[in-house]
Amino acid sequence: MIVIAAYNIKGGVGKTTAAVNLAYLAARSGAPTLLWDLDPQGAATYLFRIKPKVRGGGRALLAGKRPIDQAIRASDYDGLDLVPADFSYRNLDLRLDERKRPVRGIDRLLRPLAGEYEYVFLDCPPGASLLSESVLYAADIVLVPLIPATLSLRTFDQLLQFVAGAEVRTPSVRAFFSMADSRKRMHRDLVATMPAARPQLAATVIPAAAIVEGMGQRREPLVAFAPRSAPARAYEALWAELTTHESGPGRRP
Amino acid sequence: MPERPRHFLWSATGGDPAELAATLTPGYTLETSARRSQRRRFLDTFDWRLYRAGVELEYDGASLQARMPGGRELAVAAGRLRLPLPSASIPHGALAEEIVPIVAPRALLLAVEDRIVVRVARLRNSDQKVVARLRASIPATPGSPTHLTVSALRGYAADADAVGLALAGRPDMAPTAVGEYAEALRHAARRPATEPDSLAAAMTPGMSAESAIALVLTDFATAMAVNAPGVIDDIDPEFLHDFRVAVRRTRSVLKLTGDVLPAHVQQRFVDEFRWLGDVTTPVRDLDVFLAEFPELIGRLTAAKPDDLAPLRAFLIRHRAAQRRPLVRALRSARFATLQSDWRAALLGAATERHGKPSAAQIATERVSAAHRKVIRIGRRITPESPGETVHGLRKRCKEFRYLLETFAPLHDPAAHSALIRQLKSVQDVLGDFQDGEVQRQAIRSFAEKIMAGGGAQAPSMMAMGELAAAMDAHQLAARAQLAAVLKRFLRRTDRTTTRALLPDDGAV
Repeated sequence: MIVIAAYNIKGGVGKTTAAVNLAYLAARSGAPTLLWDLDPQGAATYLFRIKPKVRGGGRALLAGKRPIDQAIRASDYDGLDLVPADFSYRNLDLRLDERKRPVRGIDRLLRPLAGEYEYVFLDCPPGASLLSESVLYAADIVLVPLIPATLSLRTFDQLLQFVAGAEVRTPSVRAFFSMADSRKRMHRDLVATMPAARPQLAATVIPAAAIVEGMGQRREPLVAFAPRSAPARAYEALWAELTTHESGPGRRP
Repeated sequence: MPERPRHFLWSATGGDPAELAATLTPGYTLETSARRSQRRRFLDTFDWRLYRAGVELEYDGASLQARMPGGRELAVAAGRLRLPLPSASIPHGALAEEIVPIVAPRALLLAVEDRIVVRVARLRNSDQKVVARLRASIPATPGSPTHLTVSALRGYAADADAVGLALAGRPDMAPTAVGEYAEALRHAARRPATEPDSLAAAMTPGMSAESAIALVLTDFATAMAVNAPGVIDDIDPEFLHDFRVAVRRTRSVLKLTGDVLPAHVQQRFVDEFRWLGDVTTPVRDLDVFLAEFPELIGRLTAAKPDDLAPLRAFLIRHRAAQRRPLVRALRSARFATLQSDWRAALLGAATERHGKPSAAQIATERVSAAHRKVIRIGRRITPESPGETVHGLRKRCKEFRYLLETFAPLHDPAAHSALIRQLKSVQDVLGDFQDGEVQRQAIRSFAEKIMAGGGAQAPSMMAMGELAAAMDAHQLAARAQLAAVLKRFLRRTDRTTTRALLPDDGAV
């Protein structure tokens, strides 16, 4: 089982869009896939038309009162399941802190699913919190969408420091440019120059496009309803890049 | 975990799920696909392993689809398949991971085939989320009900329950526990029985011994007849295994109780079944070797697995050569005559329902005698006893076991199971002892044949030497265990043990 966390300290950079579309592509390739919407906003849950409700909330999950597989809901797409968001996730930091070894809380919940899913995507809320540390501990790959802007890169460097300082199992950090607007000179310049300075950057760039907003209207992954669009093809390329990267996605022992 | 699907038999003609929309509670909508006519082919092993496991495996000409007992559905692209399909040839993936452990080493055969029209529908809730799938399978046979399956998506059992309840309220809808495969089998020429058909199950203590033995032997004759075509066509190794079990038990029962049958019966058929045993042995021995090949490779410590490739190639060639006389024998007039004459003889014996001795009397006498032999030889076994003595004990234990199983319908079930369990612990060790020796000799013989054929390479010969040594060690280990296992057996069983099998001594 490979755990991929779509994570950035900044919000609004395309984490949910990436998590939703890549999870769809993983399932479409035949790999049983789970997407856990950890963001109390529940955007991924909404896109899949699932009610943002987990019985007992985050507290019941973390306390082990309710096994995580009872919270799982099948999406409309074969091989893709979801653990929905719940508004109680806004307090997940507190709930984690109540447990022993709080940083391992998410990992503990995911381990029993190792025989069932080949990929688990974690759609994470923005911020740098105990929940973020717990996600980093559980992740084999930390997938970081970056808008090609100076401040985004500063935040990326902060994230790398955060990862370096956290109790982690050395996940592979893979960043990619998201919502890149080729009409903006800064975007073009940074896309061209930054990969040399940031080896974690993927070659694939996800372009900004109005059609992405259609996901919210249609409540479908972009790659499902507009597979020939530029961002959809870019997500396909990103998925191919992630799954054939030389250093390979780390496998959970 | 996936939800268990719900099944219904729907007597409406047409079977269009769109007609069910009005039945659904408000808030649900149905989205129906186009009709699709298809050939429906369910696959299973000869002995119905998938059916018994509650698994449906369907082949649609391009893919294999499995529906597991808990509702999980798996599919794999399969292209054009040739049946019978060896279990090792099932395309790799999640489906194979589930199916192969159930069916191996048997091949998949066409269990039932028919033509149906399929309509599928997706049930959506008020958020337009798909919560269940409906599949209507409309048989080509006029008047046959449509099979409707409601499969909840994971986490939406409550929705499927609500729909199921609504459907069950319709006068043209009958809930059924039977899935599509079981339903299709109802109309098939060959169907699984809930228990194997056994005439011997009808054995009673008071019936004549002749009649009882004839029933047992008829079951074995049926097993031979049923498995012979699969041996001839080389569908999978289990056909020959089951055929040989029937031959071996026939020979044993004839030896141990055949005197209750008319004298001419024993005289006429003992040699014929010896012939059948002899003609089937070489191929069976090679089947076992080939089946155990991965385990043999695992025993190598110095040699590499590839060093045994010439041995494997030799075994496959040798098996093909040994199959020729086997197939000739099973296609021969001699075998056909044996089968028909044997049936006729048994039919004659089976009609002699009453008379002495009774089944219970013969059971008590022969089972006790066999047990005494085992005890007598067992008590004499020491760590220094020669190999032939140990082999002698193995044969007596086998005879004792066959007699127990022959008369099982008459025995107290608890006493019977306990004794079989105790005997099995001794037989397992004796079997390991025998296997070690037989396999070591076989490896030596194979090595000689490979050398004679000019195919000998030093690494292969050395690897085979390593195997022979491992088999020797296996035999020695079994020998070392034997004393303790025998001691336990002898402590736990005595003359009263067999009396407990038929507590009334079979009084009628």
